[in-house]
Amino acid sequence: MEFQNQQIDTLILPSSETIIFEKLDPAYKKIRIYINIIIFSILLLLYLSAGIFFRFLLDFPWILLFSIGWSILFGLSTFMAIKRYDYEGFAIREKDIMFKSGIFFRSTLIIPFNRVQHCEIEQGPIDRFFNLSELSLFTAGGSGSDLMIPGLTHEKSAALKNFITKRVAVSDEEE
Amino acid sequence: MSIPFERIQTVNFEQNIMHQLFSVLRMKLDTAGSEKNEFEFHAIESEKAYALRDLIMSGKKNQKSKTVNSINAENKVIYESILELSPLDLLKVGLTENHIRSGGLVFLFFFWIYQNLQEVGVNVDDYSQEIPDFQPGLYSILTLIFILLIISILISLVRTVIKNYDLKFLRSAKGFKVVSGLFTKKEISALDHKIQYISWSDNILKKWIGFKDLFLNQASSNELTAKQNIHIPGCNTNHIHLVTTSLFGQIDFDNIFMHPIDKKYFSRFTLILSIIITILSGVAAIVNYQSNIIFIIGAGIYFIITRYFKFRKKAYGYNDELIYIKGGIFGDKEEVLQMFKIQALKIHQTPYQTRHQLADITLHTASGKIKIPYISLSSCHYMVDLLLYKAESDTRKWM
Repeated sequence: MEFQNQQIDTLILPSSETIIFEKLDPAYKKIRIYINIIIFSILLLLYLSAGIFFRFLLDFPWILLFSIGWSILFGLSTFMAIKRYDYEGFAIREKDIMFKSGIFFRSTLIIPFNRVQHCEIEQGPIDRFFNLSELSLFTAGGSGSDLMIPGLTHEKSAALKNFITKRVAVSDEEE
Repeated sequence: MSIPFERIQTVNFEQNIMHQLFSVLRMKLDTAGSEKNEFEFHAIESEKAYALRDLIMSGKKNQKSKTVNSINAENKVIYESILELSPLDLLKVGLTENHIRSGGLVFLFFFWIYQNLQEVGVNVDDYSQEIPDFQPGLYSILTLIFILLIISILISLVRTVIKNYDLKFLRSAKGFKVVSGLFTKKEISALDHKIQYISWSDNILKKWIGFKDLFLNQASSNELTAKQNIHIPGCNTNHIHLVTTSLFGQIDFDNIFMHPIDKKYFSRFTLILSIIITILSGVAAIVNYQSNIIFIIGAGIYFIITRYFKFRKKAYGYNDELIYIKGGIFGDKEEVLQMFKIQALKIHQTPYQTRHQLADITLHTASGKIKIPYISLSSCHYMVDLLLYKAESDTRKWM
């Protein structure tokens, strides 16, 4: 292919600033809440069963302290699990894919399709129950540059994988 | 097992004393695939190995299979020397290494011996009691520091000589090659288009004699070990100019407009560290460790000063083709990257940065990442747009 290096007007570069991100599947929010409930129930059970052996744990100051601490942490992490969902999203353009996440510490990762090495769908046991899966894209840029989109319906991640694989193939041909 | 030539990333040679005796060498072929996907000949005749290397590096496709001897002549690659380290240069490089790092190694070594002696049942503390009591005065501490410094310098020197003895940095039509080593001769080569980014740096001592360390970073199957990265110590600005010219063409780096990073990079850090120091000193004062306060404040001041240098030196600029990033603490570090070689981009914001419309941007390449901290969100988005455009529209091979 002939080498070209045309000058471009930098004001008309496609902007990544105004992208509208697509949300993850609402079921994924539920999964996070359920997992949170399970973890905190186990904590509660552990404390109570420890109380069988150490009676004082069930007496006045300790049980009160534990219930206050437990309630605050449970409330906070449930709130975070719900809120997190609002800050996560992915967007696909013609030539790249991006994923943003984080309530307080926000990050956005962007990968051009012509740098994708391979692409994978993963599904854990809980995911399978809700018919969700996680899409992973790997580049040659090391683990920090691998993009993972959780909480997609299985059909959607399969469709995305299909789309991306085609895109990767197209860009390979161009090169 | 078979690997197509164009999948081979690098061809490297190693020759230890036994190899040298029989004039054979160890040949390693590295692909960009998984870690296991490597090819190695433990002993191959030198001439055949070089011929094979030249054949692979010439990058010709559709070669019919031939015996190695017959291809020897037609694929000979001609090398021009860029730099040869003389024994004097080698001495200078060794003396100007980062001695604090070598000192740390010495310390770790003694610590390791101490631990091992304890494990085999020798109680070192018992012996230390046999040494007559002495007051650790200023004089003895100074002597100790002096001895440690001498040992550190000696270790740096020995390490440099073993690694870089008789170093030759060569240029072929399409790539670079470096040969060096005292006991084990190592040869690493890199094709131009496989180099992901280059950097050069110095420290206070090296700046004084005008030496820089040059790094050519290649894509490698194993990103954690920097074994594919070519490191050439003892370069001067002319050598670096030669390398950048042959890789990127004539570029006047002084004419690239450099953008500084936001001053909050320094002020935010200083504020947080000052609060931590105050709390720590307060705690130390309460629990009667007053003597430690001076160390806490000393360490704090050191970190603040280094942060200030980092802030002053960090800057980035770009032209049509390249991103040019400056940095360093006491020395200077410069990194140059062809924009289209980026693999992925990451924008990251802390809550504070979000409030002040600032962001960090990380450029992931196939040979590590480069971070530009604390730039305005709008310039961050501009960089993202520009870099993505370059990566997506450029059809040159990035690897």
